[in-house]
Amino acid sequence: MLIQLITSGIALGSIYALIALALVLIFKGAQLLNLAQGELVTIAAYFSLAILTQVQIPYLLVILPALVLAGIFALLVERIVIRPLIGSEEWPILLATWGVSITIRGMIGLIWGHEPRPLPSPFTSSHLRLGPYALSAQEVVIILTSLLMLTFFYLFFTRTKSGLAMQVVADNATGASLCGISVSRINALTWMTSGMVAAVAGITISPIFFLHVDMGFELLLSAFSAAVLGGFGSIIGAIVGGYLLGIIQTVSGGYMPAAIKSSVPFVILILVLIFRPTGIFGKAIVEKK
Amino acid sequence: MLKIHELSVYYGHIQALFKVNIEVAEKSIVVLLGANGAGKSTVLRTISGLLKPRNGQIQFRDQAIHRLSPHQIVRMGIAQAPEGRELFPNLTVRDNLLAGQYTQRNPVAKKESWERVMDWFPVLGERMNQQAGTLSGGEQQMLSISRALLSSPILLLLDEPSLGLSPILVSQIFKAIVRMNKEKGLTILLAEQNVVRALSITHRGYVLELGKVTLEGDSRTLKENKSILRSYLGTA
Amino acid sequence: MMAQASQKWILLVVLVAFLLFLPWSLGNYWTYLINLSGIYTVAILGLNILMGLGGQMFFGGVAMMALGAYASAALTNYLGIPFYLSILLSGFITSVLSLVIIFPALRVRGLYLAMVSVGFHLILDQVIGHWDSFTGGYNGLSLPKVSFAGISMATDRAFYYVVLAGVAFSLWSASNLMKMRVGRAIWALGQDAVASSVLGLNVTYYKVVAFLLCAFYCGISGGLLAHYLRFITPDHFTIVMAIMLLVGMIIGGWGSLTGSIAGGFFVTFLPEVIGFFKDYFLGASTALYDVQATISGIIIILVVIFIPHGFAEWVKGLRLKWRYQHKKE
Repeated sequence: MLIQLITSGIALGSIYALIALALVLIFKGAQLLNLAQGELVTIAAYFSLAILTQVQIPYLLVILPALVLAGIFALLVERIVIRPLIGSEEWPILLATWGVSITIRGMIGLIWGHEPRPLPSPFTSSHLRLGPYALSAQEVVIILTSLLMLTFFYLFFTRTKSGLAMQVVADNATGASLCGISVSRINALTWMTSGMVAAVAGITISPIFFLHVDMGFELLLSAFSAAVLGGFGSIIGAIVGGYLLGIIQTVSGGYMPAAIKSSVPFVILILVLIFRPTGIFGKAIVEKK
Repeated sequence: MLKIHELSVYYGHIQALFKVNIEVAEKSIVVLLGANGAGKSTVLRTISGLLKPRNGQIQFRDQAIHRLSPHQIVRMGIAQAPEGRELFPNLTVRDNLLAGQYTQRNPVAKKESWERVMDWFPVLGERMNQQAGTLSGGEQQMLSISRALLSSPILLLLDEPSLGLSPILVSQIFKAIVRMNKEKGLTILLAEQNVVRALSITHRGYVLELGKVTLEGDSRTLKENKSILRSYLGTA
Repeated sequence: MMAQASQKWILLVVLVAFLLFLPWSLGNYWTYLINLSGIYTVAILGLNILMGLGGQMFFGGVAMMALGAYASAALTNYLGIPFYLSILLSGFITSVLSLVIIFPALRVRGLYLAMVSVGFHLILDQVIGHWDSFTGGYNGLSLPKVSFAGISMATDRAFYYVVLAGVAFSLWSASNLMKMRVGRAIWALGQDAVASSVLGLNVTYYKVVAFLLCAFYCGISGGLLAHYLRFITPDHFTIVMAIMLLVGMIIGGWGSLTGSIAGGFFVTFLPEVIGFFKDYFLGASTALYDVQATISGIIIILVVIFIPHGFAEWVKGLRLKWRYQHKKE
């Protein structure tokens, strides 16, 4: 039982890690919290649903067009809503991303309705046998695709020129522009990357946790808690925090009523903010008074 | 090569530059002198596109550049080691330097400029994997200049390269500036408070006071004008 | 001077008379809308104190309303407390209950506070939804008809006076509080907490006060809503409602207490307008909630982007105006 819980925890954690990474990327690169991050995941998942119901392609292949769509969508949001607001203070941008979140939420409700739908996947009904244990195949898929995605991202971020540019812009945007880097272009790239990372999360989790209109906010809160747990602002922190939160939530959820399980991320968030606001890897982020 | 014409720049409502005129001839070293707050950094930042002028223009090789964005100006061949250095403190020295090469596509030029930087500032080679934020002041200054050099610029802007450095390091850097100009024909515009050293290596100088050019001329003449300089700048 | 003073009195009398006789000249449906506007006015008032003046990015106003609504319902249902008392008490209870979120909220700022408040809302939603025995869960909770001194107040027209009393009380108490040192302190808080603390302001204390006041008014608003609708579910307190309240606050004037009235009307009438066009263009089967969400989201994006001179500048201007109006005499 415990092994299964831990595996599920790692699977859930993979999702949190990906979305937390997406959040922290945008935060580091553009100094803003993307409140619409959850909705980007949701819309990617719904896109995939639309594709899978129209075209008969294998489940895993849908990731490719979904990635493209998600990247383009995130880019559109950045160009239309965020670009006009560069240089603004924290407030307006926060409200703007919240506005985007609510708008997407409304549109999803209009287009797809409120019925929770599962994303069809051949893996949900099969199991992998590991000794005496049976692990859900879908969960294994989640873990593997997430690791793959994280690896791609790592290679991109550290080995490519654009990845270096993203690191550079995140560290010092003025310095970056003095090196001939177009900060505006890199911000767009950051958003696209963030959208794509989130898309993978959405596609792999939806067969298990059913697509529903409101899943965005919950995922956002969980991802944020994960990032704070790991130390908000740190990429490694986001990933570690994600896996950690996933495991904590699932394992503790195995021993408490289901209703409380969904409160775990929030409780962890509050606990971290009260007792160790810098999280595991981060620097001081909390007001001292 | 660079012509600044009647340039007026504001910070919000406060005017920082008043119809400034400066010319930098190709392959020369020109210095902007002046006390703190005189406007030297403002001139350099405006050239690099970090500030936009309200009036006047800047021409680089007969092209107006004052409305371009900073990264476009770098691509035109103007690089700056700015006030405050603007390094990437959380990245390694190597990554900082690689960032400087971002616009450079020619592998031969890349190799050349890299070797040159390593030759002139060998201490950077020793600290390749160190985080830039942990370097000493002098080393950071050298890193900032190297980063600018790695884009193989035609015009190099240096904002107070000697600031906060020991006399030995200052000598090193000034020697390097002379070498850049002599060996590679690099045009250099620098802002300095160190009047004497600056005038001894430059061809031409402009004195800025409260946003206006109050004195200009070739360096030899300015140097001999010590008494005037003393009254303007309080140093000699 | 004498002429001006008596002019003011006449205007006041006319206003009061107008307000008192209003429901008699309107149909039930319009009275219903006005009642709702009044109820939301009180909530927006609370938000104006905390967000508008105090500058705290707190999106939990609707959650506080929910607390007030369910608290008030519980007082009436389980303890038999009459509505007028239970509504007032629910304001205080909400303040106390909100301490749970206030203490973590004190330690964070800006975007962290925003996230924490969103989380607060989500968790409260879960708690209310699953605590069936107490709150009726997702199926909702009913309340008995209200009556005062034997007269039934259950009609729209009769409840109008309850709402009127609530709005009048809230506006009166809030504006008086804001005129005192508390008000200026909260304003200073919104201006720059660090600078204020350097000047000797006990930032933490006034932050708590601002939060408690917001909770109080939102709680009263929730209580009014509960007793008016006589049936509440978690769906009455959605996150979309939270952004609607925020937009209403902005429309009425950031930090303006009387502007809360405009905000209340906006929040009530916008869905009506949307609903009307929705039925016309999209058909009655489309969920109003989704259309509302989409439009509210778009509105807030447009507001933020297109306010002339920038959103932050506009807020600063309004705050300066408030400061000028509340100068120490």
